Amino acid sequence: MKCLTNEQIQRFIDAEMPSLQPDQFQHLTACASCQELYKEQKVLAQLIKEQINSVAKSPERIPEFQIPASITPIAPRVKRFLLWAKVAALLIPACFVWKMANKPEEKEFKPTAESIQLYEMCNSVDANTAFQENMIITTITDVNGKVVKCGTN
Amino acid sequence: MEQFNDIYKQHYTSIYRLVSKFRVNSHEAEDIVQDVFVKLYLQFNSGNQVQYPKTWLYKVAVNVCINTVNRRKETEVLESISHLEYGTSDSLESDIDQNEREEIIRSALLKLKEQERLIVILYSEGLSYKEIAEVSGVKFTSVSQNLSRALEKLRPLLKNHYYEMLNQ
Repeated sequence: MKCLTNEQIQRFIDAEMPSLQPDQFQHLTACASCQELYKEQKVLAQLIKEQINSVAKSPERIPEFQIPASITPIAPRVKRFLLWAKVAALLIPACFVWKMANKPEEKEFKPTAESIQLYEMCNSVDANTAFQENMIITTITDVNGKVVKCGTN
Repeated sequence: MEQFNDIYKQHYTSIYRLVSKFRVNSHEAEDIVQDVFVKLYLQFNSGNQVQYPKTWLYKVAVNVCINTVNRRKETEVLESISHLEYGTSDSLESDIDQNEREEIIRSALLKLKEQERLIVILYSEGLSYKEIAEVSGVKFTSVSQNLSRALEKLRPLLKNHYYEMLNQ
């Protein structure tokens, strides 16, 4: 079996190897070179930890926590407002999506032949006569083409 | 706010020690720690839950330290500040020894890549690989790789101490 890598040995030292394979463990106990590396690396890791920790300083005392003047506690009223704002931010898009999903289908415009005839009769304009001499009839129809309102100039 | 006060008392020293491992002086360290806890206070104040305060504090502290050190780099040449204003001991000689030793360690750490340096510092804090990954933003699977590489890089830089210890 191949010797263990530095990384594998480091994980083993730090007990971070989730499952050391039995053959790897067997190798580590049998291989002199891996054992040497394990020993060296363990000392190195320990030494570096100690050296770095020797640089660290401890505070002389734990000071009382001072809330900076610029920070004012959020009033309950503002908190409530923020809560409602969050609720609104969730509900408004939800309502919009719901409304879009349940939008009634638009009816196709299908006027009857009778309606078309009536419309053409009412809206025939003679282009050879003056505009004022033409009687323009304006009609409003519903979706089925039925005249609901009628007016003239 | 009782919960905040408990966390403050429980973690103040460890955060201060972590911050002091970066190239910051005592005043900066105090300001950074205060800044970190103010951020935590704001989290509590706005009603947000901090699930793992220890990891959260480490993460924020590391970010603030990196920003402080980087900002300083922009304005001035890096100088030895390890011995500045961090209390005094009785003997001047031991002070100098301590300062020299600290300087060796800090210089060795400076030779690492920023990510490796951060991982080694967090490792020295006794954090698990999972916590290191969360604080540093490095993938969990890459922590051991970066760590063993960083330790290998530090080996020749601290060789005098290393061989003394190995031969003990």
